[in-house]
Amino acid sequence: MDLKDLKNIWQSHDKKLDENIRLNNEILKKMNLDKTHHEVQRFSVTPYLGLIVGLLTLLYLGGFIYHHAGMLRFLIPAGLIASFALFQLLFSIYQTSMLRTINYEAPVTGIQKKLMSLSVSRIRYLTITRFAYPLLWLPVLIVALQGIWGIDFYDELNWQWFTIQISLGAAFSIFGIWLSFAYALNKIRSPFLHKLLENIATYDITGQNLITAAGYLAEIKAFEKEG
Amino acid sequence: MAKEMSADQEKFFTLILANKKIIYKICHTFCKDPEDRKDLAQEIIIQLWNSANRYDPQYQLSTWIYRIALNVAISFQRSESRRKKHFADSMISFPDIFVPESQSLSADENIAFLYQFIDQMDALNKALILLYLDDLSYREIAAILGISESNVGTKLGRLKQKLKTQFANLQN
Repeated sequence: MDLKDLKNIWQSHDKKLDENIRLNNEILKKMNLDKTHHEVQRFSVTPYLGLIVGLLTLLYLGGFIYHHAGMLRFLIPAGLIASFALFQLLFSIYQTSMLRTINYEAPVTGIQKKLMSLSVSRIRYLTITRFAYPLLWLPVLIVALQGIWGIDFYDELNWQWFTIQISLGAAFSIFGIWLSFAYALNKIRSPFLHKLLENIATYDITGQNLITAAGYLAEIKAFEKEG
Repeated sequence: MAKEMSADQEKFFTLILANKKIIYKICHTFCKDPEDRKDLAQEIIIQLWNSANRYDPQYQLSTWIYRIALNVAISFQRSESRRKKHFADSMISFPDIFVPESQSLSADENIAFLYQFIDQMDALNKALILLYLDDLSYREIAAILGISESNVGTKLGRLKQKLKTQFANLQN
């Protein structure tokens, strides 16, 4: 049997399809055709939300920095949050511009490559933001207390507690990012730790989603390659 | 009460009706599970509707449908969250867009072997073999998949070899 034989089988199957399948018109009519829930739409709300949140945060922080010029103890936390908001804004701009280039009428490999690249960048972005939160909550607290209620966080500060919080936050963030980007799950030898990390992989702490998306991307590139 | 259909929707359903086989075959090639097939068929139809106003007449209508349907099917297959969602919803059964499927269709041993052979392939090779079996020219396949004509030839040659080996293994 070769491909031509398969083609013959397929063609006879095709003829049978003409006689044997019909469309369920009632279901078709009831379908909400404007409902879109395919892959592209999954991404479409997040970047716009990121754009709005990033812009509003930067606007607020701009005012805060202006009013606290020369007060380093407020400028450092505000600067940290502003850097993060700027990163969020730039990523959202990148994603929205990528989304504009995706239309399903284009050739399959090109669209699938774009979708996978979008997926990879989105996973990386989510990993970074997830692990940035333990570092950011303290600056957010300092800025929010001062900016909203006029309370100076440093007046009541216990330096020992502050140092522990900063160190733990930094350690957790750095370890988490390393774990995700180094595809560490495959490198972990302890079966117990492996199982534990696998169980919490829904949070992509182990970078499994990234491995999968990167794998698909490699698969598409290999398919495109001649020879 | 059922809503009145617009002229555009009527026209669109006529188009779907005329090309139902393409959608049916793609759904059967990319999904083994009947519930998944229903979801995929709906997603393809929705995406075709959403893209209808962007149809470029320089391409054949079938090329346009294949591109959209295959892009949706490949994304559908790759979406793990969907599989998880389906698992959660597996107790609920929705009506199928295609009715009724004759027993003679699924009972055909040759077709069963063919689907089994295709099922082992990755998503892009599934798309390639489907287009080949649907008797599209190398040029059309290349335009739909976005690869060169010579690459289509090379890949089909490899599939031929693979098929020979599999068939030989089956006989042994």
